[in-house]
Amino acid sequence: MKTSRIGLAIACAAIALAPVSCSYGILEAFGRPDPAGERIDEAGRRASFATDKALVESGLPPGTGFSFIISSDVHFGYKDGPRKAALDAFAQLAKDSGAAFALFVGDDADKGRESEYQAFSSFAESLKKADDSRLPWFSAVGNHDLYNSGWEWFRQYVGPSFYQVSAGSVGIYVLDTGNGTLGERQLERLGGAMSVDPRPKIVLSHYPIYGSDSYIYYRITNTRERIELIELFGRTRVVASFVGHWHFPDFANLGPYVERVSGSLIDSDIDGKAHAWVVAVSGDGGSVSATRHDF
Amino acid sequence: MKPRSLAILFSLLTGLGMQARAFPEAALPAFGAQARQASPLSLALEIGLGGEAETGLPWAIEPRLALAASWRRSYARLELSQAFGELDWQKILGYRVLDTAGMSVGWNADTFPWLDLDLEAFSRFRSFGSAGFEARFGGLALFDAGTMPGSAGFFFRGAAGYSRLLTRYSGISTSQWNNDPLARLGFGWRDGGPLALDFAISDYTGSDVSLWLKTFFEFGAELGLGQGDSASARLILKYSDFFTLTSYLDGFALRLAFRFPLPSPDWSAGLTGQ
Repeated sequence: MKTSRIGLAIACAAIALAPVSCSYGILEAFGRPDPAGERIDEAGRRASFATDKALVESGLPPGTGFSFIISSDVHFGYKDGPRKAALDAFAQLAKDSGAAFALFVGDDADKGRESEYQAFSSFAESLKKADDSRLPWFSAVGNHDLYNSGWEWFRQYVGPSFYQVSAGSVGIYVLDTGNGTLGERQLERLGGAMSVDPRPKIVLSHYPIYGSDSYIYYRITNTRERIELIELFGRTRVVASFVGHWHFPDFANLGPYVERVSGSLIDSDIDGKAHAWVVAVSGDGGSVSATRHDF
Repeated sequence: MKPRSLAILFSLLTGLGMQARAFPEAALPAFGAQARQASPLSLALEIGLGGEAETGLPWAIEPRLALAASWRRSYARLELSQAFGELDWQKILGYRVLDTAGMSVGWNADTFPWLDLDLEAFSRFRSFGSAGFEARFGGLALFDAGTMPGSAGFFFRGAAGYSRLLTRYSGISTSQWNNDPLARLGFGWRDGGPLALDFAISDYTGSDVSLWLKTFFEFGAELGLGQGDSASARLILKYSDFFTLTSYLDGFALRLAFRFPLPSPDWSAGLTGQ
């Protein structure tokens, strides 16, 4: 009798595990203490950007007004992938808008495979400025980017997962929320860096941090982390945040700043369209305006 | 010692229960102890006072193993409970300011031979220092059905409820209200064996659950230092996991619990000896 009960228990556990799709990697099925902390330590000196001199420079000096183009969730490798027409429209908008650089808010790849990163990198490297020169691009890491141990390829084809871009008078802080949480190491370093940085700031995070009613399900689930981040952003001059994960554009006005959902560059299930924003930043960095584009 | 004092001492000893747990959550092991004391003053009140401290060995398949001792999750906890409800206060030590307090009131309808119904209303408050706070309010109905109470055999268990969460952030002007349905469905054996299995679509707000499985083991021992029914000893092994049906966080949870009763200790022999 006891043997049969143990057998039943094992069978139930196996049935429960079965829905975990193998295409996303069985190794990702087990929780780790601080996965983002491991990544930012592995990524090297850029991870400690609070004191590091080698921040990513956009080439835009302080006092310069500029604009950039931003989208998210390209999902190269998902079924047919992003529509070519949408990618072409995004590239044309980048050129026509005079964007100084492009930002992606994660899920560049669908299953974290090298071929998907190669496709994404090839697309990103093809983007041009208005003068036909190369358009710099940066990306946050998303949950899909990490499937099948995709971090190895993200590092190689995209770069670090936690860093800062200096552009004009603002600091753009790119967070690693690929596992749905920053983890204590990243939270501590982010707090230290933002607290001593007097500039206006823009934040990129794949997972929504505030999360309005329509996408609560997709936001960071650790309440303590969310509260500390929002409080930190509120008192350190964050003027805008851009998030992904949820594929349809949205925004929440939180007073000191607006959290905008970038929307996906792969067609959204909601409206069947791809999405992007063109964002203009004033010379003093205090004013940010965003215009939504659907393809 | 005066007779009255002796009576209180006897009451303290016979009513005292202890619980020790080890629960590795990505870290091995965490140790805790809690003492519970039935009131000697006929208040039908039970008081629990305890603390837990964590030290650990992070585990995973891929990353290297590294010994990481941490006392950051030690906490102090105070519980007051009666048959119809309980109050508790908990302070997590060493990580900024994080106090929690909660209360619940419940009612049991043991009316039907095949249904055991509990209704519970609860609220929970958490303070995050100067960063913000949250307050949760809700209610829950739990039922076990399918077998005669007390008999060995198969039973279904379920729970359904609803909660509202208010989150207030100090840094922004907006407060957030979230509504969370709660549900749980499971089955198991009562009296006839140690196995219980639960599937739950539950409230996951506030948990630090990564996208995929979040394996959680709990190993515990319970010791009741009483006489008769209150004298008990058992070992408990629980395995829990959150898992996904959609590759996104569903909040589905699976729990397996094995309880191994040990021979009940006869504490009265020791007391008689005094």
